[in-house]
Amino acid sequence: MISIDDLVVINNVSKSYAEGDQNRLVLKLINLNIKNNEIVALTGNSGSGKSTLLNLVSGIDALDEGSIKIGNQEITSLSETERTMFRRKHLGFVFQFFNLVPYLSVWDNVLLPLAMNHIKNAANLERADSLLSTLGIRQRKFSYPYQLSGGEQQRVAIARALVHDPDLLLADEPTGNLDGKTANVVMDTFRQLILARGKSAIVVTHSREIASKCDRIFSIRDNSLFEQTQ
Amino acid sequence: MNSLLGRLCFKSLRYQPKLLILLMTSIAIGVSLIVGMDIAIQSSNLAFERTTSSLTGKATHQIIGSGQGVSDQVYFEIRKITQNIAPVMKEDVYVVGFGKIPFKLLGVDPFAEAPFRDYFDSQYAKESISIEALLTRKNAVVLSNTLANRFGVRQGSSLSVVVGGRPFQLFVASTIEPRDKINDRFLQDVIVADISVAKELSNRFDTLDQIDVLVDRDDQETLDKIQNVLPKGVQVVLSANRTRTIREMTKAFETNLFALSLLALLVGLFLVWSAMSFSVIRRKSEFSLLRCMGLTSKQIFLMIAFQALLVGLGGALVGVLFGAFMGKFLVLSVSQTMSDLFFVTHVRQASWTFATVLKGITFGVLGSLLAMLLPALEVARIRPREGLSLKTIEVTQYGRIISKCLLVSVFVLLLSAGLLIGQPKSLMASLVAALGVILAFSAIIPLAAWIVVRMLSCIKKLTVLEFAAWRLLHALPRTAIPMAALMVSLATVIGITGMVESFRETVVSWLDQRLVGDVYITVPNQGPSRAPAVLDEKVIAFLKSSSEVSRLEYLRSISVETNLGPSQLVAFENNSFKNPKAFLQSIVPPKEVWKKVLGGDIMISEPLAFRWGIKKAGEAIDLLTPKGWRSFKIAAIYYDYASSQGVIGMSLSNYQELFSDMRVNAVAAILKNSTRSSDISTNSLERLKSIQVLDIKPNRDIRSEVMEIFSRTFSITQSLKWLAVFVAFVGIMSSLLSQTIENIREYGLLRAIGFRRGEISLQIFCESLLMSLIAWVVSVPLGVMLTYIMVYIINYRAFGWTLQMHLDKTLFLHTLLLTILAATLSSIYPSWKTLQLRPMEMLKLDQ
Amino acid sequence: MYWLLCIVMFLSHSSWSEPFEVANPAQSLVFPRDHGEHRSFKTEWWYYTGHLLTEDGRRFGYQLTFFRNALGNKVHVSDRKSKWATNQLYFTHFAISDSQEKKHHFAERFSRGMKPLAFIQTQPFQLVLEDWLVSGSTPGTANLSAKAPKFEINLQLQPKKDLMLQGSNGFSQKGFNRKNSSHYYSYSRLYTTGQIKIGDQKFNVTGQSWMDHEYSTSLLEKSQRGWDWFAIQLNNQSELMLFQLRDQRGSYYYYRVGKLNDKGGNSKTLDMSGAEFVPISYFKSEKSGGQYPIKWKVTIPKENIDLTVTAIFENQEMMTSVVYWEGATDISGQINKGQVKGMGYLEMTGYAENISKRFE
Repeated sequence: MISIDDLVVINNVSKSYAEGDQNRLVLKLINLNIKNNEIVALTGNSGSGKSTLLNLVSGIDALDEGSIKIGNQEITSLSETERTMFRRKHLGFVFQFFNLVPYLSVWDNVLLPLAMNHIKNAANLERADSLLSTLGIRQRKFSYPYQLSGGEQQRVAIARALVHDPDLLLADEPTGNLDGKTANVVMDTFRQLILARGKSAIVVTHSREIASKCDRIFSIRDNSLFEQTQ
Repeated sequence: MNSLLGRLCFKSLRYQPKLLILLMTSIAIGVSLIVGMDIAIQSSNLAFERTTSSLTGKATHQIIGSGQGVSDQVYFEIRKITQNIAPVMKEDVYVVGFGKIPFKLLGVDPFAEAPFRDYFDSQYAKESISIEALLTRKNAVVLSNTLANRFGVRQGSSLSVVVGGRPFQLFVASTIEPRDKINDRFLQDVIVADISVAKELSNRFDTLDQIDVLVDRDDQETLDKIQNVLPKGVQVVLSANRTRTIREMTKAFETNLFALSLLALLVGLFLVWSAMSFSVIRRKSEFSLLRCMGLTSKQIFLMIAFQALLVGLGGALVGVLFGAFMGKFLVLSVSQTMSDLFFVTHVRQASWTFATVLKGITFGVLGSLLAMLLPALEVARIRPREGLSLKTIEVTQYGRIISKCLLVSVFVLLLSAGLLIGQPKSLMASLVAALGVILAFSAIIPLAAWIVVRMLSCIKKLTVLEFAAWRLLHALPRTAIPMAALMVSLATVIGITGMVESFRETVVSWLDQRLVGDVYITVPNQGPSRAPAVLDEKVIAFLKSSSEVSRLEYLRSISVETNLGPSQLVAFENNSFKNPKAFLQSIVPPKEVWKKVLGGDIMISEPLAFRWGIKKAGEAIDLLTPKGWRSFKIAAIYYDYASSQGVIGMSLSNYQELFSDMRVNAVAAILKNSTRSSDISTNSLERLKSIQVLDIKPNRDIRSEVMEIFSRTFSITQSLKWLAVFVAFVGIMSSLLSQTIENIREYGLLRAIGFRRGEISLQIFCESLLMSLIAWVVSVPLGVMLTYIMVYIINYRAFGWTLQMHLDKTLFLHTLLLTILAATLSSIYPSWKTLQLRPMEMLKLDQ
Repeated sequence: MYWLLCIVMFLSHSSWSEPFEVANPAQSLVFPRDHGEHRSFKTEWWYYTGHLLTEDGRRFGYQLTFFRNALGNKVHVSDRKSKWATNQLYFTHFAISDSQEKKHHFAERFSRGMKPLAFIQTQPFQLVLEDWLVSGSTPGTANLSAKAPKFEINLQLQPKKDLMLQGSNGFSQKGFNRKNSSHYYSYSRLYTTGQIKIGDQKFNVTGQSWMDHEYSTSLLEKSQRGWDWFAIQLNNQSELMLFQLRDQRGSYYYYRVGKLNDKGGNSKTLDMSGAEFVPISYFKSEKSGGQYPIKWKVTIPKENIDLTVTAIFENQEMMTSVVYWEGATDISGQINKGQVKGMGYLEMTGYAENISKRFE
């Protein structure tokens, strides 16, 4: 059932991939609603289709069947370019690896989305700065990625993902590369920032501990989506 | 958005300085060659044009004779009709100690010069030439200060020279300082003397080389009056026409040089493509990230394109600067060749034009954009998130690559063939076709790789090799390009060496046929571009009276006017055309040709027939003789390599009768005892030294001289060849290095599971060896094809020479050795790199 | 004519007095031999000037001069084989003054001394420079023909009197230094007929001419700036030759000579003491900047000569490689209290500023 404060509506979505000369079904009739201001965890074994679902939601991939709506926008009816533009404006990403452009400084990396959207104004710069501050890496503003630790890199990625005020954040194993303590800290900060700003997020993760920090937990098994109760 | 892309572009380039340097250097090398070559050619041409036009001055017409100049009387007669005429004598002067390229002695009448050439004018030089100085002293000449400094003389000094084989002491009556660069250019090659001095030096007392005329274009009346007093054998021609003919001669040579430099650029571009390809893989994650964040494919493509533009521009600029530098050195070499083959030019300075710079930059930038095109497209196709997880394994559809390339290859090959057939005379078309063939063979590389790999897999024991082969195949998009680059260089080596060898062999066998004498006597430093000097009568008398001589055969060479333009005519006595293979075409069986020639017909050499579009013997041409225009039938077209412009052959007796000229330029002496040819040569030289400075050579020395000229001509080509090899070798190494870095994790894994260091190095070496061998295998047929094209098509269309193809099989062995050497050397550094790292380090991700 | 200054300094700064021969007072002139050229002397000229009238009374003046100059400082060029080798330079000046149109036409030609381009022949007498020609039995009995792009001349000359030896027996001293002298004679009155052509117009003319032949090796000191020369033919059938040299400062009097040839052909050297040549009016040339006196008052008190010399029109300047003024004049005045009229030719050199620049 769709309610007014549903940010993301995934409806009967299916996706298969061609592998050699065969078609492998990855997702079958997935249905998922994500509310405003909510963090959802997505778990499952390797190859279960978590990343695929993330790709579909972000518009990186096109689905075979069904529809996805983010806010008022029906993603599926958009062309590739339109999806890219939508993504640019409304979504933020954090990955497990390769989050940062190696030859840009931390500051430049964080400002990338602003530059892309042509909204590099004083207010936004202010926001960028305060994000870095909140994440505790402001003093590393002009360092380069290779000079940062894993945790610091992830925090920069988070700042970058939020700087342009997107409605939805997508994180794929954001803490997968970090040790336990750092992972928790980063996740906590992530959660705080998202909820404080009234955003929503989908977090793909293996870790039960990380998943427990989310509002709802879903898992994909046998090409289908199941909600888990905490 | 564009500024963002721009900034990303800049920063990424700065982040990979080694790549940037490699890219820019590759482009710079190719561009520098194009620019350097262009400068060398343009300088020579410009120098020649300026000198010619300064020599021609403002003359609208010239009165010339055929072969013998114009009688003084004609000048006196015309002087009654108009005073706007000037007598001119031109002679080659060799300045002792200043090399084999002669300077021009210009003999003029200062009183008649004013309307034609300015240098007697005070506007021309800072001081006017003293007419008294020029007229009153024996052998008095005037030089520019530049030339005087070069010779180390001043006003009042004497200058040792040789003119027509005779030594003289010139008296430097005065030196002048030209007012500007253009006039200075002219005076760098030219020594000015009074016409009486010129006549005395050249031993031509009653004739002038030409009479310059200045006539209003509308003044037909004066031209008619002049025409009426001209005797038979003398005609009036427009100055403009003569200069143009000379320029056309060198076009073919220039085109060839340009093509070679382009080839070097091509190899460099392969390198660029390869380097870019590798860099693209390394940046996959970065591009994926940007795509995720919302950059469109088009924007990513633009980013790479912009990078290509920057690299191209940077490389081109460096290339232009370096090329200017190279141009200076190339100028000497090119002008030497031009002097040997076409016209004498003394250019010492390289002259730049804006067009040259523009040419270099355009090629550099365009080349760079072209080379980066495919990698850029590939990058644009990267799906977002593709490079962001470790799970993605790129499965190379090498099957598809092979079949696509094969298709391209066949298509290009057909196009090239079509071009060759469709444009049978065009040199440019044949060069483009050659390029097409090269590209077609490059596209075969994937197929060749696959075949080699298949063959290796049949040999069971070679696991290391097999492993390397498999990896090669799967990395085909990356490895094919450096292989192609090496293949092209190897094929170029084969092609060029083959062509030079073919040339050499053809000329040697031709010389064998044609050189009948034991000893040859001529005036030294002659060449196709020089006006041959006449042998002194006393020399002939000496030879006739010599007891060692069994028989003498004479040769006369002069420039004549024909209805198809000016040409060199050679009149000889011997029938050295006994070999039926000497003729391309004849109206009677080869054995009878000489009879026809004795009877009054003429022969023309192959390059001349080509130039004039004469395809069959039996056609007739008109020659201007002192008795007027006469028509001559062409009895045969014969092979001749002495001149790139071609000559008309006539029997000496007929020539002497028609032109009333008993002088000769060369004598072949058949000795009673031919083993004594060396001694006799040396002795005669000594004895005749006081009469005339001569070249007296035994037969085999002639051969080596001709060969020397040929090797000089091809020296530039040879250097380019080696440069191309060097560039390709660098390409192989860099690609190997990149590959190794790519596969570093894999090697780490292998090490972790137990492979020894040596085995890893062996792996790398095997890959390198395989790449090189595949390149070699494909280079062989391409090399043969290129030789064929160069020998039978390009050379023919450029000069009109038919050569016999001669390809030494040891050449293939040499290139194989070269290949193995390249493989070994290029694997050293990458191996060394892997040897440094420990397994765990190798397994860690490099960011 | 004495304007060799230009030639000499234009062509050679070296000391040219040896080994060329110097004029020698003991040397008599022998004819017809001495009508020809004297290559042992450095410079030489044959100078024709004259006055021509058409049937309608239209007046022209003309000048045709053949100059020879030896280049270098030796009489002979070293042993040379080519015919073209020569050290003789020939050049010619040709001018016609049209008094009606007040136009002065002039032309100059140069040539090396070489047959058939330019040469001098003694017998029969010929002066040849390409197609400018003087030929006859003597310089006085000769045909003149010259053709310039816009004007032509074709005249036949006959001497009315025998030739007159100038100076003392043909030895003419040109200054206070004896070294500066020449051998010089004139035909002071030559009856002239013929044709001239200006543009497309042809004129049949008659008149009288004056011919000078002079040769020397050294004529002037370096301190001399120029000279003025008058060749006067009076209607009483007598002729006067007058000249003066001016020094560098421009002051006129430096050296003056005069000679009178009477009706009977007897010549007499004039006593020039107290003589005055006074310029009355000037012509300033825009082209050269020279200011030429074109009207003179000539008084020679010791000879009772008082004449006014007036140019028939102002601009008869020769803008040739050396710039000078040479033109026809009208003469009026008194000799021995008798009224006289006549025509004359006047030559003035050294007035144009650019002459000195010529010698840099």
